[in-house]
Amino acid sequence: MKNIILPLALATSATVFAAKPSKPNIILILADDLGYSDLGSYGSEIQTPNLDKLASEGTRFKEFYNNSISAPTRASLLTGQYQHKAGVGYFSDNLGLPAYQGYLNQESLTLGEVLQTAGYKTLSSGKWHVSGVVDGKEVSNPWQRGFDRSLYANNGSYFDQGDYVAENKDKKDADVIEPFRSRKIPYRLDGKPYPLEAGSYYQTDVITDKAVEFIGEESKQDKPFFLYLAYTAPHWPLHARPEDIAKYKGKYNIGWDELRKQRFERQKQLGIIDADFNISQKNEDVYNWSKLSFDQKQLWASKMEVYAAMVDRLDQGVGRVLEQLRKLKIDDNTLIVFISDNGAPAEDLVKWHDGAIRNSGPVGTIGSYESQSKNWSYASNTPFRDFKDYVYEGGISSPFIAWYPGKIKAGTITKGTGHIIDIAPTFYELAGAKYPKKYKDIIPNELVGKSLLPVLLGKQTEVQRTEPLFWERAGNRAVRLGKWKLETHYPSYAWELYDVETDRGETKNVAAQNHDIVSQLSQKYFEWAQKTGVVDFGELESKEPITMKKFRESKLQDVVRGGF
Amino acid sequence: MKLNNIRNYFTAGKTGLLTTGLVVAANTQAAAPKESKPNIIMIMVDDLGFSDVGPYGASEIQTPNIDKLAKEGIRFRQFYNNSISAPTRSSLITGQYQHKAGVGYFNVNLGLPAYQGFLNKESLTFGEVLHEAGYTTLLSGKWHVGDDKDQWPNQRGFDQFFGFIGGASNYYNIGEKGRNEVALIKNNKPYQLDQGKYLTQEIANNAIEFLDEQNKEQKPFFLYLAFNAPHWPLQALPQDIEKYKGKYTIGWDSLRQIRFENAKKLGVVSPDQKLTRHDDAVKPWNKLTYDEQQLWQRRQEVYAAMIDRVDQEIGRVLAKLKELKKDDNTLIVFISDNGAQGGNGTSIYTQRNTGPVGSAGSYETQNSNWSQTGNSPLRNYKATPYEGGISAPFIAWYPGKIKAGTITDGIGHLIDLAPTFYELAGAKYPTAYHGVKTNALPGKSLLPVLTGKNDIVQRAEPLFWERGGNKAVREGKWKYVSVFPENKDELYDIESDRAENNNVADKYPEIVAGLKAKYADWAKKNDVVDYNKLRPKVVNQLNSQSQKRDIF
Repeated sequence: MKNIILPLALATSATVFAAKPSKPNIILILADDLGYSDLGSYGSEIQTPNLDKLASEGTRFKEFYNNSISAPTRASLLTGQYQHKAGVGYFSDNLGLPAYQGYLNQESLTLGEVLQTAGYKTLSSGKWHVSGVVDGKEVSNPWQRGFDRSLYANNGSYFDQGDYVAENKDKKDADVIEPFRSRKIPYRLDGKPYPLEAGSYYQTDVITDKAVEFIGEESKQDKPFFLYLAYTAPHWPLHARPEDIAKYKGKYNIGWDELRKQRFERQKQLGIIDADFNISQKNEDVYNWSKLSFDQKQLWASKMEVYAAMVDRLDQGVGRVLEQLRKLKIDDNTLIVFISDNGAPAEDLVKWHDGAIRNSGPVGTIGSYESQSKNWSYASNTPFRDFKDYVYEGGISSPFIAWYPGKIKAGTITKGTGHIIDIAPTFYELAGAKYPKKYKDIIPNELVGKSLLPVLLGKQTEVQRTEPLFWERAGNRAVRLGKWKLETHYPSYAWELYDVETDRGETKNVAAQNHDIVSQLSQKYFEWAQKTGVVDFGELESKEPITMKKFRESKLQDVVRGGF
Repeated sequence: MKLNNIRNYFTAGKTGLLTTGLVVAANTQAAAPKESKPNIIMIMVDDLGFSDVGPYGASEIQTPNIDKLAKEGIRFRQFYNNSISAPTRSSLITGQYQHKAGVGYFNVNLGLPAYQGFLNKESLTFGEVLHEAGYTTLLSGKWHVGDDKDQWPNQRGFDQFFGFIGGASNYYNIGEKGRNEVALIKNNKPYQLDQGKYLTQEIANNAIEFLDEQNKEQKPFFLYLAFNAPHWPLQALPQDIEKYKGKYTIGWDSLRQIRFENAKKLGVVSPDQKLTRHDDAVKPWNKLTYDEQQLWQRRQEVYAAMIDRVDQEIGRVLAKLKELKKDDNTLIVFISDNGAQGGNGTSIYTQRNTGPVGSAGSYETQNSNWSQTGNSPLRNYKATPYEGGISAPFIAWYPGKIKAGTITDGIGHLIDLAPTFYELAGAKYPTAYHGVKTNALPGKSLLPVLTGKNDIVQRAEPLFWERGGNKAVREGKWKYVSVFPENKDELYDIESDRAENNNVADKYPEIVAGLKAKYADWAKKNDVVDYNKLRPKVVNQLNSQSQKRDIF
C-alpha cells in the first residue's frame, strides 16, 4: 500500500498500536443464490451442521435483506452503499451511466480498503463480480480494491475452466452469457493467473482451501484479519461431488410442493417464522409435482439432490474454516456473519442457452450444465414469494447468522430487519475503523446503513433507522418502512402494498385501502432514487444486453399441455 | 383363382330377395371346396410411422416376421391412409371415404350425417360383406368407429370380436377401478385383462383362439387384426424393452438420417428422393441435456419394444396359420392407420405416474421428437395430409400368388382394400343391404398390382383427403395440400419431391386450380363441410368430453 496518503498511514499505525487482542477477526461468508430456507437452521433438510452450530451458538435474523441479484448485492455489501451509488445499479454490465457502470466506483470504499486502514489483514476468497474493464485495463478487482490476499473466482463450472474459452469461442462477445463474458482466466491468486487442472478440483473446496490457507498465514502476523469468504455455491451450474450427491439420493422424490410444506413446518418449529405465518401463494408457473410423470419426477429430483450436495459441501467448507480458527486458537475472538446474495433463482439455464451447452454426463457431473429452475427454488425460498431478481420477499430475503462467542448470546432469533448496507458500519464499529472523509484524494460516499451491533448484542430486536430501506433492480422497485412494503415489478409501474408484519408472504395487496401510505412511501422512493442516481428502467431497457433479456425469458416455464 | 363358379352362384342368388339370396350364396359357398376361397388377414397397426419397421428402414427394430412377409410378398412405396385413426378405420372397414361413411372428423357426433362419428348403414363393413360371402369374420383389437353398443363390431358384421371400442387403451391394468379408462369387450361382454397381462399379447391370443374355433367350420375366414400398438401410452413388456437398452443413444437426428438411407437401400424410397426438412419444433438432439437424452432414449426403447412385440405376436399368428395348414391360402395385408404421432407440447403431466416409461405406471408419448424419425424421410405427422401423416408401410403376402420380394410404387389407398378383398373372396358388394341402399365403392381392387400386372393402381379419379380443415388431392405426380388454419395452396411434385420440401404452387397455378376444382366436386359429393363452420361443434364436443380420456 505504497500510495496510502499520510493521514491514513498514521491512522493505520495508530490502530496497530492499539491493544491487539481487543480487535476481533471478522469473517463474512456469502453464499450465492441460496434460498431463505436452504439451511438446517432455517428449515432445511439439507445437512448443514457447521452453519447450524454457528446459528445455535449465535444469533439469527428473521429479516435480512439483499439486493435480489449478485453484482448489486455485492456492490452494496462491499461498500455499504446502495448499489447505484457504488456504480452497480444494474449488474456487472456497463450501461453507460455512472450509476450503472457495472463495477465499483472509487468513491465507494470497500470493506478491504477501510479495514486495511484499521490495521486489518484483508483476505478474499471466492466470487467478486464487481470489477470492470476501462480502456482495456481491469479495474476494481479485489487486489485493486483493498485486499491483501485474494483468490478470485467466478461462477461457471465447478470442475474446470473451460466454459468460457471452449464452449463460447465461436460466439460473438455480446452473445456470451454473463458472467462468462468478462472472464478470460477464471481463477486469479493475488491478481495473477492461477491455473487449475480440469477435473482435479471442485470450486467450493478451492475457495475453502485458500481461505484456510490465508487464515493460517496471516494469523502468524500480529494483526487481526478480515476474511471475505464468497462462495460461488450453490449457484448453478448444478455441479457437486459424487459422495455428497450420494447423501441425497432419493431424498427429493417427495417433490417441491411437499418439501415446501415440510420446510414451512420446520421454520415454525424453529421460531424463524411465526406460527400464524401467511405462506405465499404458489407461483402459477411452478409445475404441479403430483401430476408429473414418474420419469419427469426422477429428472427433477436428481437436480435437487445435486443442489443439496452443493449446499452440503459449502457447509463442510465452513466447518474447515472453523476448524482452522480452533486450531489457531482464535475462535473466541472472531465474528462470523453468514448471508446469501439473493433468493434462489428462477432461471432455467438450458433454456437460457437455447439448449444444453454440456451434455456428456448426468446432472451434477462435469458433463452437465443445469439449474434447478423455479420449481425447486420455490421450495428453497419457503415461505416467501418469488425468486432472485424480484423484490418480493423471496428475491431479497436471506438467512442471517452471526456468531461471536461470548459477545453474541447463543441461540438468539431476532427480527433484525437488517440489510446488506448495514454490514460495513457493523464491521467498522467492531474493528474501530473510522470511515475516512478522504481517501486517495477522493471524497468517499457517506455510509447509508446502520451498525447491527446493538441488535447482535441484544440491545435491540431490530435495526433502528430513520430512513426506509429501498430497492431498485431492472425496474423492480421497493420501499420498506416499518410494517409496510411498497413495490412494483417491471414492466408494471402499479404500486403494490403489503403489510409485511402480518403478511410477509405477500398474499394481499392492500394498496387500494391505503392510498396515503402509498403516496408517502412512493414519494420517499423517488427522493431516494434521485439521490442515489437511479434511472427509470424504461429509459435503460434498450441498453440491456440481449443475454439478460433471454435470461429473463428463461424463467418462464413451458406451459403444460393437458392432452393425454 | 377358381372364383368364377362362386361368383356365378352369388350373382344368381341376387335374383330373389336380397337377404335370402345372400343366405343361399353363403350356404353354397360352405359346400364349395374349402381351399378355393382364400383366407384374409388384415393387420392394422396404430400410429406406426413410415420407417418404423424393418422392411421400411427401421434396421434397429427387430421385426423378423414382418420382414418375412415383406421378403416373401410385395411392398408399396406409396400407400395412403386418412391421417388419423377413426377416419382411417371407417375408410378401411367400409371402402368409403370417411365422410361418406359418417366419420368425417372422429368418433364424436357433430350432428351432421357425414360427421356422426359412427359408421352409417349405407356403408357396409368388410365384416358384413364377407360374412355374407361365406366367411367367418373375426376382429381382434381396436374398433374406433362407433362408441355405442349397437355400433360395436358384433353388430356390424363380425362373428367374433375381442378388443376395445375407443381410440386408445392402456396395455396393462385396463379398466382399473376409479379410472376413466377403456374397458375391454369380448363379443359384447366386458372382459377383464388380468394383472400383469399385456394387451398386444391378449389381442393375438384372442385372434389365435378365434382361428382355432373357426377351424372347426368348413369356411374361409377373414381376420381383422387391429393392434393398437405402438400408439401411446408407451407401455411394453420388460423383456422386450431390455432388447433396446442403449440402442437410441445416437438420438433422433442421426436416426432420421439412418432410416432414410436404409429406406433408399431397401428400395422403398427412390434413390433420388430427399429427406424432408428438419422440423424446427424438434429440439436438436445435441441441445438436450444428458439426463433429457436418457429420458427420451427410454421412450424410444419402449416404442421399439412395442413394435417388436407386435411382430412377435404376428409371428404367433403365422405359426397358427401354418399349424392349421392355411398358410398357403391366406392373403395377409399389413398397414398402419396413420403416420407417427406429432406434438411438441410439454406433456409432463400424465394420467399414470407411478412408474418409469414402459411400465403400467406410466403414460407417455413419443412426440414429434421421435415421430419425425418414425416418419422419415417424409414430412409432418399424424393428423395432417403431408406424406408423413398419410403414408404407411404396405406389405401384402400371399404365397404363390404374390411374387416374393416385389417393391412397387402402388399408390394404393385404404379405399382400395375392400374392393381387393371382395374381388379375392368373390363377394359381390350388394347395392342394397337390409333394405338400405348402399354407398358404391370408390376404390379400386389392388389385385392387378399385387399380382404384378400393374405397378400402380389405375384409377380415373384422384385421391382426396379432408380432416379438420386439412385438405389434399393426389393426381398422378401432383399433390395439392392446404392446411388449416393457414389454408394456403401448396403443390408438390411427389415424383421428385415426396419430402414436400418445395412448394411449387406459384409455378403451376393451373394445376392448382384444376386440383382445387376436383376437390370441391369431391367435397360436395361426400358432404364435406367447411371446417370453419364445423369447428365450433368440434370445440364444443371436445370440451364436453374433456373428462373422457379415450376420445383420441
